[in-house]
Amino acid sequence: MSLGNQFGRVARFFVGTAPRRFASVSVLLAVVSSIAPTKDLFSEWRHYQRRYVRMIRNRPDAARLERRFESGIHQIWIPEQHVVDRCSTCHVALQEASLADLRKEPFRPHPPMPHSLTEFGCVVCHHGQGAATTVQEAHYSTKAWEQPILPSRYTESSCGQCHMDVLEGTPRLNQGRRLLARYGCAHCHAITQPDGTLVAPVDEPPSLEHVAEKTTREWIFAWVKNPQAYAASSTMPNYRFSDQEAADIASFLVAQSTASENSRKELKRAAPPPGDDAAQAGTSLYGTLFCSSCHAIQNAAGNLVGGDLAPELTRVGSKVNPDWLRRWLQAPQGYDPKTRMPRYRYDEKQVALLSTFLLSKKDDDFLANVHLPDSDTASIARGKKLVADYGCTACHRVNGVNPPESFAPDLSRIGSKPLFQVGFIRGMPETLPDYIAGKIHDPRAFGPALKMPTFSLTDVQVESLTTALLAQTDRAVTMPPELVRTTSHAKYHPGGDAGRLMEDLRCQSCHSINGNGGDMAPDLSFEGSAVQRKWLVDFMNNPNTLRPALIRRMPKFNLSEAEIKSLSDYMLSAYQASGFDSQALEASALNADAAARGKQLFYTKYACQSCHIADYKKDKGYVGPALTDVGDQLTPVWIYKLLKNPNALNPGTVMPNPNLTDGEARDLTAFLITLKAHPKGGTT
Amino acid sequence: MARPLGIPEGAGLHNPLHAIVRWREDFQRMLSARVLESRLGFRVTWYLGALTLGCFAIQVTTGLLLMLYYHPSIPQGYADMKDLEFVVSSGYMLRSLHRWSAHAMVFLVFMHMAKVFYRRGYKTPRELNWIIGVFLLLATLLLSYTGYLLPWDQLSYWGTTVGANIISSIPVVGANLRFYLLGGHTVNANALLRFYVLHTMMFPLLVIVLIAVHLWRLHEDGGMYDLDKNGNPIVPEHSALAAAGAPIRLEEEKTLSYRELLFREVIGIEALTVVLFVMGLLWKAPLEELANPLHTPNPARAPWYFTGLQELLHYFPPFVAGIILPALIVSGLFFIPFSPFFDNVTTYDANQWFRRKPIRMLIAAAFILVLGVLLVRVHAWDALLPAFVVAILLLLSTEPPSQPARGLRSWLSSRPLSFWIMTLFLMEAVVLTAVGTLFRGPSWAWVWPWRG
Repeated sequence: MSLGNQFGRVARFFVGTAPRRFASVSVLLAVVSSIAPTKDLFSEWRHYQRRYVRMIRNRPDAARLERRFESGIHQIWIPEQHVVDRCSTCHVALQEASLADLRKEPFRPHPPMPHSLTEFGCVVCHHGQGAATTVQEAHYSTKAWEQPILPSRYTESSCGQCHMDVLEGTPRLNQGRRLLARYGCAHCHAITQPDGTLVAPVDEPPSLEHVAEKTTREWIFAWVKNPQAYAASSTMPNYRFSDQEAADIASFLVAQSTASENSRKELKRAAPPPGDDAAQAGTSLYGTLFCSSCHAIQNAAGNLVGGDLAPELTRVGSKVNPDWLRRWLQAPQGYDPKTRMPRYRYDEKQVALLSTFLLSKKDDDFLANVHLPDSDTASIARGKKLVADYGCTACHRVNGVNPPESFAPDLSRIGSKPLFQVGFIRGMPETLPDYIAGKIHDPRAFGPALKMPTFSLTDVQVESLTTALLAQTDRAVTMPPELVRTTSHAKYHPGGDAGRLMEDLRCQSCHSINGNGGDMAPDLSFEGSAVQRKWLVDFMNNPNTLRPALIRRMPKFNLSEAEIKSLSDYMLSAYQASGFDSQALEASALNADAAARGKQLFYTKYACQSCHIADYKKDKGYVGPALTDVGDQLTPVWIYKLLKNPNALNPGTVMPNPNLTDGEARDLTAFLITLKAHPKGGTT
Repeated sequence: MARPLGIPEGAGLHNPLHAIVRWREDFQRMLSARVLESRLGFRVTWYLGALTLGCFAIQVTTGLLLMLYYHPSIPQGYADMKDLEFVVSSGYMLRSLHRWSAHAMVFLVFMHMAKVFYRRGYKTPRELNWIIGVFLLLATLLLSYTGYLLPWDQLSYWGTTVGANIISSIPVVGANLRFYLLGGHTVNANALLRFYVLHTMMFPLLVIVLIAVHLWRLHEDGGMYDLDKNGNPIVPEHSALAAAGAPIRLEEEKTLSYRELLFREVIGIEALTVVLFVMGLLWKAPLEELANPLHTPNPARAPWYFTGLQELLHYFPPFVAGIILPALIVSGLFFIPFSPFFDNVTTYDANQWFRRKPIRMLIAAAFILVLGVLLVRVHAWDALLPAFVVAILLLLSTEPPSQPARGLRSWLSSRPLSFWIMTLFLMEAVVLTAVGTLFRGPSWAWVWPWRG
């Protein structure tokens, strides 16, 4: 029998007559319609749950794990946040700490974290499609869901959606936010943070209104061409100007420059002492004045030594006009009223020594090949147009060019930028983090006509910045205010004579007072409650350091007696914390017996000497401040309250709360106030 | 006992069971209708009407089940789609069945209409059923269109927006019409609610009523026979028998129409359901991102049965493509079958719509010229193709029919004008829909599908 015949017989059997046709089609329909429900029994999530059940059988705490495991689809529902997260359907062991040794997903427990899974869900931090119950749909970008899982290296950004405060667990985010402010991103881009405030730049682009006094056209040319060639640590970005453009800008900047207030003053000049002595004396003066708290200089090994609050001075001698430098050292505000540089009370000899030292910091090669044609009006006009077009005045003050308005895109919601609005470069991974990182790393790669310049950032810095920007999500901006952990943005400025003096000294460049100011030096908001007058006066006369390990120190301002009195009067009366009346601690309780008990506690029970030094001969603690003269420095009440709760008076301190009883705190205080630079009897 | 006047003994108010008995008798009379067995074969109707009805049954069943999960609100409606996909057991299959069956229904309704038209099933006494059929076609399109919005994803949102904009291009009343349809000026929560009510209540009820009338008329008008010009059924087998001189015993060849027909058609509907299930297993019903009124996809495409219109809108001003052409098409469907000018011949009548060759040539030439110039003028190149095909066929048909009628040319030459218009309409519909759905990319520019 041929194959065709056999086939015909089979076909006739099934569809030969109408009832057979009906039966065949009905059976087929029954089979086909049961495929989908059957497939459901073998879905991905059931597969993972079955694997989990098999896996936990071999664990020592199998009974407990099995009791806690519930089969079926699990979901976290947070209506206010539009969150329906079914991630825990497959990631079943998120809350099983006993499985912490598992490294492979999906059964890895979640690392310890301060939030409850059920209150926050998963996608608020990790993104992805929480409602999905298949691996592909939940984790990756699909037609139905654009934003895939956030790569784990950017996860910290999610903390930044609510937390404006500096968290210990988010170094990337913190660094990114610092960089956002430090690199002046916010000069051009408006970035509204979850608490409603704008990111404020902390860099200090100098005013260029009198730039011709300070430097030369050649230097401006070389600087604009490549700022990092002059100072590797500079935050000024590279605009990739052509030689012609850079020359035009230099011509314009010199042409627009006017005379500063300083230039009208007579320059009193002391002759620098001759020879090597001068260099030696200048170097040592630079050191003893603690200029390096803010300024850095590259040492012979090529490492930067010093702070990053102010410009690097490695090649400053190739840049500045010597007379400008002398005037500047005497009165920085006379050149730039908004500078953060304090007005030191240098005498003429100090100015001479310092300027000699600084002018010796030069690099003759830097300008060796710069030969500019004479500037002409056409070049100046072109330069002015470039300065306006590239938004130079978003950062720098320039005569005749107003700061541009809404110059660059608002980045307040960049973390939720829909991908259809993104112009990716061909070949790059089409995700938002990759786009942001790529844009920061090399903006011009996205189009040669784009104006955004190239910043000199390391890969880690780019990643941190990306993390900080990814925190700027729609969710962050629309977050209910009670969920936002904010920081203070008070614009406190001290008033009166002392206030003017503090303004002159730019105290808030380094110190924060009532929520306003730098974070380099201690917060002074409660300084009046904390310190004793004599110590404060002595310290301002001759600032020494409390923490020997630190390089940055309070500079010497050469303040007059009257100035110190005015400052200390003001600080002791104005910067008081509430509840610090001396009644809180009876003086009679701080007797010698108590001090002896306190010493016992200090060295044995609480081992304070592991971080602090009470006695230079014995103790080696370098983490906390030295306490050798704490009895001179701090008030007993302050010491007592600080011991009771370190974080309350010194937010963010690394000092752990020792959980002292009142008696122990009193005894320790009694001991600590005996620690004086010049002890008058009592224990050593 | 006094009885109301005029009600016979044993019937009437006091015993409701009698009513049931009467209905049963009516029903049996209906079921006892007989039909020639040869008229029940697949080739006669292709069961297109029954398959369409089957689609509607699937729509009602899956639709009711989907209603158990669906909230017509934003964004819950979209979230419900996700639940159907990810949580409800076989939820994706429900959605897919509903979606593919809707497409199949639109497709089958068109096929049914074409089949009936070419078989000249609209002839007396079936004029009313043809008209009802046209209404059913429109109702099916509206059902499908209103359902398109409900998932509230990008696809549905923008498809609906494009459709609503076509409506608003009607002069004078267009903007108002759109406002009433959407409950606002844009597609928003009000529109979703309206579309939901229309889709799940009003249009289904309308369709059910229309289907009932359609079937009733089918029964009353005597089934599936071609009719001669006197309205008598034409049975080809009989002509053969008559030619052979054999006696015709009509009643003996007849069989119980409902029993036989339902049996065959249920098999057909089951087979269709199998196909739809397989389609559901192979392709999930599409679901894109949550609707975003700020992000217009490029291109924003209407549902496929409207992409032909959208393609026309690309060429013609909205008033022409959105209103005049659809109005011409719909009114053509209503009136052309019954106009002696368009439809002056019956199938077996050798009369031609214009007997004389020169006039016919002239009309064909004028047709080509006007349509050609019009389409070239608006650069509607893809619409030119069907026009040219029809024009060539028209020219071929100018040969007077040879006796006896044999061959394509003579067959063509015996076609009435309505045949040509319907053919042109269907070819344009197929070409424009295919181009609009498959060959259009961003900014409605021509894109080869395999380049997409």
